[in-house]
Amino acid sequence: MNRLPYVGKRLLQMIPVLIGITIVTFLVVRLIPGNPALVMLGPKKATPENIAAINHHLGLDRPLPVQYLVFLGNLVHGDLGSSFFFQESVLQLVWEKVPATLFLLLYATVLSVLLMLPMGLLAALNKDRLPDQVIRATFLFGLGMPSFWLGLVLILALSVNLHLFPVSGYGTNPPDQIWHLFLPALTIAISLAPILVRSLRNSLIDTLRLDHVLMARAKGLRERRVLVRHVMRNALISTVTILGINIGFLIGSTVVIENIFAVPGLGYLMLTAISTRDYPIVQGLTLIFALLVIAVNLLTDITYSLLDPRVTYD
Amino acid sequence: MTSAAGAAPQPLAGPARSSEATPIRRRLPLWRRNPSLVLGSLLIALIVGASLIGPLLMPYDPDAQDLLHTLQGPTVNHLLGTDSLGRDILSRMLSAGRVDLQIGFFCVSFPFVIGSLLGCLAGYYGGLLDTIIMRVIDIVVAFPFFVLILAIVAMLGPGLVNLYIAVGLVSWISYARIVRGEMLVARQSEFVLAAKVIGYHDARIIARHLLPNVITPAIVFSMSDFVLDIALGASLSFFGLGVQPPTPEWGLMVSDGRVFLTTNWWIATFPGLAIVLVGVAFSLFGDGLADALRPPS
Amino acid sequence: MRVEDLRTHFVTPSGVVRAVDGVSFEVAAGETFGLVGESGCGKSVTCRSLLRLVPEPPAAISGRVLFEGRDLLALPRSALRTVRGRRIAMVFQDPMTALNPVIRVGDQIAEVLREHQDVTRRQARARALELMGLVGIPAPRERIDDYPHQFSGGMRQRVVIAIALACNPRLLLADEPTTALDVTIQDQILKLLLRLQQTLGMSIVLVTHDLAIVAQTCHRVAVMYAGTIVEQAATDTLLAAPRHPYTRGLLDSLPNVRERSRYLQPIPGAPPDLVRPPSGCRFHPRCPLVADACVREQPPLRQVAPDHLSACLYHDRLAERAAAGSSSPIGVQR
Repeated sequence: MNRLPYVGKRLLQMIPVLIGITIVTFLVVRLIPGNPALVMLGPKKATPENIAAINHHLGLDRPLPVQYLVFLGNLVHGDLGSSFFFQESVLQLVWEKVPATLFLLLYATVLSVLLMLPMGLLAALNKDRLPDQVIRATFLFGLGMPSFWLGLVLILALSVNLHLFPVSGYGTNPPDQIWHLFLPALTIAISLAPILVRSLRNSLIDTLRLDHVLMARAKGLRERRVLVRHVMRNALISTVTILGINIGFLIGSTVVIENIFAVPGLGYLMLTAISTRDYPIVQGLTLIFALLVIAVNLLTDITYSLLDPRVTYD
Repeated sequence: MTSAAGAAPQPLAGPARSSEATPIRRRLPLWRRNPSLVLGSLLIALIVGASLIGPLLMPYDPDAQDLLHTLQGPTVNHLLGTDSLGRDILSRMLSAGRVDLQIGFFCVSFPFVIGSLLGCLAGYYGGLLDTIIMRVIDIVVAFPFFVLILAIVAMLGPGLVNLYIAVGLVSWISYARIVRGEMLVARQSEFVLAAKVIGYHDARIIARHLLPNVITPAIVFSMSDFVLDIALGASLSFFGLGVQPPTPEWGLMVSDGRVFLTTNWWIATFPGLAIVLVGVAFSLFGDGLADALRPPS
Repeated sequence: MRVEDLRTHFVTPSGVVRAVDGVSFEVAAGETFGLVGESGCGKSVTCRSLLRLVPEPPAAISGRVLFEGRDLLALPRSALRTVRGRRIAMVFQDPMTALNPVIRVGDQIAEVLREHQDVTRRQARARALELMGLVGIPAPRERIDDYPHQFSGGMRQRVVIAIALACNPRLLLADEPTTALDVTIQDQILKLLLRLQQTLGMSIVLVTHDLAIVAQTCHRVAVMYAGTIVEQAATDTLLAAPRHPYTRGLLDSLPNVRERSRYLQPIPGAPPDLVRPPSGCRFHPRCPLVADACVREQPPLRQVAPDHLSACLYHDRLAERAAAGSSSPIGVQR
């Protein structure tokens, strides 16, 4: 297919960034003040053997660039280190938790789109009239609303009082999971909605003002047809772009939400690791999250190129 | 303009007396023209006032425990109820206001200054400096903001100072991008060329001529950044990584109240409302500011 | 078509913008009617107001637009839609923005057909091919599935014209159809329009700021200034013997190949603010013939000669000059 060179080129362009994120991840761990090995292990586990093991693994007794190369070398082999707390490799742990997070992300994305499309449309079509003003007013409240609070409120309202959804957990099989993850996904979707809807609204307003929409009306087309064929296509492209831009927020929200709703995913793992000072996990997860963002960005670019015929592949 | 020729005005001939009405511009009052700005400012003034004066006027010491009156709902004595240690929620909320506003302030100021400066330099000079800065931005942007902050705070340890360090390390990129973008456009302007021809130092050109123009979008952004940072601080405190007890902070208060969600819902809910309110105030102000600073079309 | 006292006012925060303020004219069957003026004089808005393509919350349109026995401004939306594209079509200025960039060209042409006529997809496509050939697009069969950005500017405008002609409209509104194109292409497109007009027998309202185009293509022309028509006549008459100082000024500001020694004379001043237009005759601040009467009341557009309307109180002075064969511009004394 003629898109492969495009994808290949994008991948090549990403290499500096990929290297960069390994550097950042590497450096983040080195932020630990004092003796990293000691701090990492904590007083209880700071046996000489453990300290030596850490020093060897991280190469702490050697100069910094060498440490980095060791780190990088391990990475290439898929070795993200071993957890202090669990007796498993970081990679193994991450692998177990990925499905839940991915599912949550997907779910949240779907709900976001379901929320933002109608609201964005409604606001743009009724610019400055009542529906638009109401929707824009909700932005104000939504922008500063911390997702953890929103999650709690939703739990209070829908789980506790109305018993519609479970308070937490993941569920065991797919249908059960859909039910369990509804509130978490909804929380993410709602907390992102202000930004997404506002961007979509502005994009749609610009599109509606475009000459080709005017032309479509001049052709005598029914308003609905004008909307569907001429406006929505462009709107969809904007939606994809907007989602892509905000993917960082989306993924970041999963961390908070997973912890509120006790969903056993990467975010939950991260906070657990932080509270138990399980630094290899924290380091590994930071890297994984960055890779996730980059992967989604690439996906967005490809989807965009599929939707917009103007994108050239050279 | 007139077809073919430019609008070079030439003296009118003949007894031309124009009685074009002198435009007495009756502009609408500020509160009609830009309600967001006015309303936002009022709310901010209210909030800041409450935070500064409130703690002086509040009925109870925010840390004072009253184990006889724990977990009470809103009553005359305690307008917003009490928490699990009998502390008056209203007093704690007012106190927390100071803390949260302070968080917002510091989390915005450092990145604002650093980011704008770097963006300025990158946009103005271009070349290697620009490439380096852009690369760094690309890399930092690849991490979800919250995750990166979490990781840094995890390493440095909980506490406000570490939060400021973490935010300072990460948040500057937004400002840098904005200012750089504006600078790239602005440096092509003719008045810059003119200044260079006169022989002004770069520093002078940047500081006096370019900066006022390129900084406005950054200022507008700082408003929403303020809101987001308060939410960030609250989130971190909620998870125990930010403000440490017993210092009251809205996020921390929500976390305290979480256990009692089903029975005493107000402990967790009210502090959250405070965050939302601050968010509304600054968003309004930011929108109003954006409108006011936009060049008239 | 007959337009009676068309007014389009926009309500804006700074006041009411009277973009079109009492415009009336008639277009006969088969003729090309030109609407000429500077940028901002209201000619484009007039054009769009005829089909009510102006967004009507900020705008308020009043007056009458009579076409085929009905007042377009009074029609319900559904009826108006049957007129648009089918009986009256429009060609826009910039073909790159007028065409939807993500829809294939053939589909955009077929769209009009399928909206107004009861045709199958295949029939619509066939007709689209036909139309593309009619407007002079080479190898239509190969290009029908291309996207707009794959065409050059002139070809794109031909597509727009093809769309306009799809349902054989009786009237074509062309809003600066060649402004965005190269001069050589302009010529081609204009000739195309004229040729099509003759073969299909439709009327054209041609909006432009370029008097040269008017000279080449229009039978009759109206000159607009600040939202009103200031002069209206057959093209030859208007260009040879204008009876309004603004028209005279426009003509004078054009370079004339034959009279190389003459200086270019731009019209002094700038177009007026349409929120607070000048009192009386709107041209008076820039008019070399201005007198007290001009400032007091807006002169009406009236007939000053057979088939010649002018809104100037002193039109005869201009007529005298023309009769005397003087080609020197009125204006600054040199």
